[in-house]
Amino acid sequence: MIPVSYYLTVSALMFMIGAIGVIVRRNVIVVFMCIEIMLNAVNLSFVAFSRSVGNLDGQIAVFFVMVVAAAEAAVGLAIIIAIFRNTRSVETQDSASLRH
Amino acid sequence: MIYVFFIISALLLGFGVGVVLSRNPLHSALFLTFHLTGVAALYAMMEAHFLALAQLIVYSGAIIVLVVFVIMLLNIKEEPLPRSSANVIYWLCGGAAALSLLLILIPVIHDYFSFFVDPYEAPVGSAIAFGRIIFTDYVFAFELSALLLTAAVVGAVMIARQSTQVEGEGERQK
Repeated sequence: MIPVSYYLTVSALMFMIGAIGVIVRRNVIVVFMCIEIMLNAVNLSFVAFSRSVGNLDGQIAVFFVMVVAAAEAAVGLAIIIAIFRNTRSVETQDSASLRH
Repeated sequence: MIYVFFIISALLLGFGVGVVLSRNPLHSALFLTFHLTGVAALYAMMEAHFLALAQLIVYSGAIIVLVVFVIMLLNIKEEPLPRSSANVIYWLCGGAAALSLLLILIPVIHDYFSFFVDPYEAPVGSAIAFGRIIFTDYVFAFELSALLLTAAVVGAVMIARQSTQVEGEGERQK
């Protein structure tokens, strides 16, 4: 059987990869993907804790995170399309100001 | 069992690094698909069967399709090479932030959570138990999530449409 700490370590490494990506990359879509990686890291630790405690509430939380992530993906990608129509670019430094 | 875990998590972390490092956003999307499938495999190993399937359908299916659709719609080329000094600063900041986060998290994990050793033999994440709890205790939140998804779809359509109208009005004013 696998200790929960292994799952948590994988989750921490995933969160680290996502955080580096959000800081380093300049393409908005890749930043979005890295945010998805971070969300998945938190989901993984939720499921690991749910498994170790023997309680389903953590998995319910993961389910709702998935629902909100789907909504966030729809709205976020629509915002990316809107930004691209205004600035003709998906680079983060090209949309540093909120007004156009 | 534990070797399967190590193989899956090594692949998953490698694909995650691929998402960050590849210059072409489509390659990033492909790596992200493999990464999310690996997470689904870890869910299946923890006997969260419903969540493993939902992860495959929602993340590796729907969200990746949305991302790839937007990448191909906007026709994004590979990221141009940045000025090297700025890039080094980005990598230094990102690496320092992530490393400090890891240095905080890893000792906490290994001091406090190493004694949980998966004590439950019976599957706790079966779809039957999951459905029962979500339609009794969490039924209000479940219905609200339906409302949230509807609002998100309507909002996404409005945001993506409105910008063209604003652009048209701006041209008319000129």
